[in-house]
Amino acid sequence: MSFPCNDKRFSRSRLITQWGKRLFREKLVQFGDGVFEAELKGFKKDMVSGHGSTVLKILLASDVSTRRAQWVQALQKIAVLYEAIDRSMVEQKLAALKPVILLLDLSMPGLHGLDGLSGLQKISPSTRTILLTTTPTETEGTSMLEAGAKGYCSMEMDPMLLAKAVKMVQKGEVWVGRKVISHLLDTLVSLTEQQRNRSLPKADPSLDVLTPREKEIVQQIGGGSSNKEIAHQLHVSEKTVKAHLTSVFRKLGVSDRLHLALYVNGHRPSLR
Amino acid sequence: MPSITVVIADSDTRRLGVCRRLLEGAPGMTVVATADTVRETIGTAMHRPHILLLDLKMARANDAATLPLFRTKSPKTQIILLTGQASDAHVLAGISQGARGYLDAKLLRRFLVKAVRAVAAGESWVSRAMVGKLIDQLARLMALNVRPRRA
Repeated sequence: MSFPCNDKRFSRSRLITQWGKRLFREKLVQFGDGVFEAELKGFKKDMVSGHGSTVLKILLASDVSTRRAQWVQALQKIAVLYEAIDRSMVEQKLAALKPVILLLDLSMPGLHGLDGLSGLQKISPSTRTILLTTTPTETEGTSMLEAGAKGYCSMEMDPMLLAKAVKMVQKGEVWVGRKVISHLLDTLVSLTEQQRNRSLPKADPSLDVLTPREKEIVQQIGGGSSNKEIAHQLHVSEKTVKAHLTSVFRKLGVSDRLHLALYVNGHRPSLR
Repeated sequence: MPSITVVIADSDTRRLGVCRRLLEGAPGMTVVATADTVRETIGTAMHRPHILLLDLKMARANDAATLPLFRTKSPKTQIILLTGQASDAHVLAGISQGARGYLDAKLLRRFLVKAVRAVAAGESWVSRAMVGKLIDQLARLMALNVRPRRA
């Protein structure tokens, strides 16, 4: 095939894409059990594995034919779609096609949730998985995303949104419902706190080891004051405040202001 | 429905004024206090506001103690960070410390009231792009947490 001009609008990949789309619409063939397969004939190779291919391959995996039909409806304009109706078919097609995106019905028999997901990811690591479930929960969503899923949505999601989700995930972003995001934040915060508490001193030395001046300064730190403010308050130089703080850090075994401030607030009674 | 109480803490007093006007113009919201230093901010925790709007610069001052400190004094307050041209890492650190959302200062007029309402209702206000980074961070922390248990 030769192209007479170098105009980008007529570039090879663009032409093939448009050509492919038309062919795809014309050659949609229905197999048994309602499984659609695109017969792209001689162009399939070019479209699917050619360099700089702009074709988005999506594997739709669900045992429920009406669901697959809905997904096809929502996505047929933006992607080349393949379908699978059970786990072994998903595995087989993942290996053969290496699709960009796998749309996976979590209630598909034989999938076994998390284990199933990581098994499938090993077959085609480059494939990004969007999970759809009839009963989305925040905890499941969080663990699936941690396991490497790139999307977690409700089956009842609007078809328009499904197309949007696919585009976002294709771009390398993540698609989850608002509730799941809130749960993600909670998990992140509690893990961060665990991490921080681990670096706090194990044995709690009482604040009594401090001198009265140091206690004054520590109290100010607990109230959010900066060194400058403390220096001003106590009519000393900032350098003096810093010197006192160094001594406090050493005595209490804390590493920085944040720890000290939290420490003080957790131990307020002993300051009195 | 009771009014949503808000504290605005911003070292940029001009921006603080903008926030105050926007929130006072919205129905069902009350600005109970404002602060432009960290010390004042910690003092406003006694109001136990529903929402604290916190300047990211102030959140990062004093070894980033502001946010956790405020949360120990008023645990139920939800915090939204106001960011200028902040790096994602700084925003992520703030979110890890318990902020429920962040808002680019350039988008205040469009989103401030919406964000405050959403976060007060228990939702979060973070961009899709940030969610991916959150998950990465989460995975890192999980890995850190799992290792000692296995050893």
